[in-house]
Amino acid sequence: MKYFRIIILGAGFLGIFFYFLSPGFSEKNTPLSPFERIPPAGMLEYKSLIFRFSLFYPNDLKFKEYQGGSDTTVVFENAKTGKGFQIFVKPYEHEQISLDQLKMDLSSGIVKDPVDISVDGVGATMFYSQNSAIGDTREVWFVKNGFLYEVTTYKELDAWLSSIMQTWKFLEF
Amino acid sequence: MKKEILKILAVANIISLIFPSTAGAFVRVFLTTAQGTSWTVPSDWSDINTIEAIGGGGGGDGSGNNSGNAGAGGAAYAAISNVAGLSRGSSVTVQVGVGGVQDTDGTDTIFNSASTNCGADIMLCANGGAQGVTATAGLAGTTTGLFPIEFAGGAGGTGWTNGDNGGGGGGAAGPYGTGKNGGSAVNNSGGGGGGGGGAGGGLSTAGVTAPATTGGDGGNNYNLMGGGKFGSSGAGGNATSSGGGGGGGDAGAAGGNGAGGWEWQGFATNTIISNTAGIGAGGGGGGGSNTTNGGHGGFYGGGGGGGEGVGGNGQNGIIVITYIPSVAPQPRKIRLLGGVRLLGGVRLNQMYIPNSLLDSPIAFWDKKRKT
Repeated sequence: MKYFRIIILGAGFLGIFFYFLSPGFSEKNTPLSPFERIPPAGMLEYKSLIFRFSLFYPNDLKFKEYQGGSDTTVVFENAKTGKGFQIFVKPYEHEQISLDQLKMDLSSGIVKDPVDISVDGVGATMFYSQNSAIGDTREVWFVKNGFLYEVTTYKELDAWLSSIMQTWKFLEF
Repeated sequence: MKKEILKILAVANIISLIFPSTAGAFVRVFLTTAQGTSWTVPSDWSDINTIEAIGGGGGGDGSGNNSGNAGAGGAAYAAISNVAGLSRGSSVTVQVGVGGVQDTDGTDTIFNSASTNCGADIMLCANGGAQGVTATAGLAGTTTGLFPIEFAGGAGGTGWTNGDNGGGGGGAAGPYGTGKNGGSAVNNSGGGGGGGGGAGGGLSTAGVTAPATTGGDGGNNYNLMGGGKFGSSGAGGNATSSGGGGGGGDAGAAGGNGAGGWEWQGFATNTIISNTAGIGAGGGGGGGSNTTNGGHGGFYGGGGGGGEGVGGNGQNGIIVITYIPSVAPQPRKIRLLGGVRLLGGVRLNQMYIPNSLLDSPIAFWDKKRKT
């Protein structure tokens, strides 16, 4: 029994020794910059410095940035499965979303079951709405750093979007 | 009356020029070495902006037979935001880092200064990668500590001391993070060059150190894709996706080229395979095997691989300026392409539709204000 303990202890010390000497040790232990993120398995990172956010999205989606005359929309979509969501973002001088803004961006005027939530510590409102092109929608709207963010997906993808929104991070610099 | 209306319109027009509204779509400008040394601030410039820079990648060592031939360092990345004080129409002095040819350091990329090297009192700069020096790996472009976001490039891989096989070049850093190191060459007669490092951050990987009998694989890009395959009795493969490192060559064959990055391309295609295509952080070039050339780094800022023939070129740097111009706000558009069909056939169910637009929203937003 005594020899067994010695062997176990010795193996432990050797393990620690080789761990610290291993070539990858310094890399494993170098703290990442707050602006560098490692996505979890099955996810990729999308980052926008100009709009000051980063998020992880499923790696079976492709993203595309659209620019209209006055808006930027990033669409994440899988054409085969039909899963997707979009982020509409624009500079916004108010701290709260105004009724005029609501009228402008929600043509249906429907705001159903609004719930206050937090996106990376920022107050946001989640609600259901409807759009003539895609039917029932799940919406998450919030204001931060002088930008208004409107995140939209299909109503059925509510839980899926929620898991993605939990990875949202504002970039403060 | 007509005169008065015209007067009012003229005043309104002047006010709109002085106090432009900012809304939405961003404009992105790429400054490469082709654009020269100055940039004119555009007429719709606003203080909502970001300015990013990648330095020039170093050139791989090509000192010849039995000299080691290390890979060069990839360039660093730096970014700043909401830069104020740039007047529309004014000229800004810039220096876009030049990639080093064989045995030459990459130069720094500098914005709004006549300096040629990174240092204090410069609005933005990113260091270039250093050349490989015989068997000693080229140093990565380092961070300066002067800017809010900075990432270092990847170091080059070491060449085999007094030997024939070259190390891979380091990958450039990019907006997603640090560049990864090139793989080393650890064998003289057998074996090949090390793989080039993947470009910046995320899931990117280092180039693989060449094992005893082949070259090493190139590192992947930040989406874990695109590293060039090692050469086995042949040339190392070029990177297969943007930002990947080139594979190391084997048995007297050259290293593969790193690929150009795509972070600013706007599309997640991940398929740009040329080292000169794409707009993003470039992968490192693969190391060459006996007598042959190192692979070139990818645009922008990838380090060149070492080679007994000729060291691979480091690639030039870049400045990326993004700003939100002054235009009138527009309503949101739904751009989800699959939108015409509802997933799972779910239809409207118990949906509350207000009688008018002023019905539900007012109550809702008033409630928000109270809380």
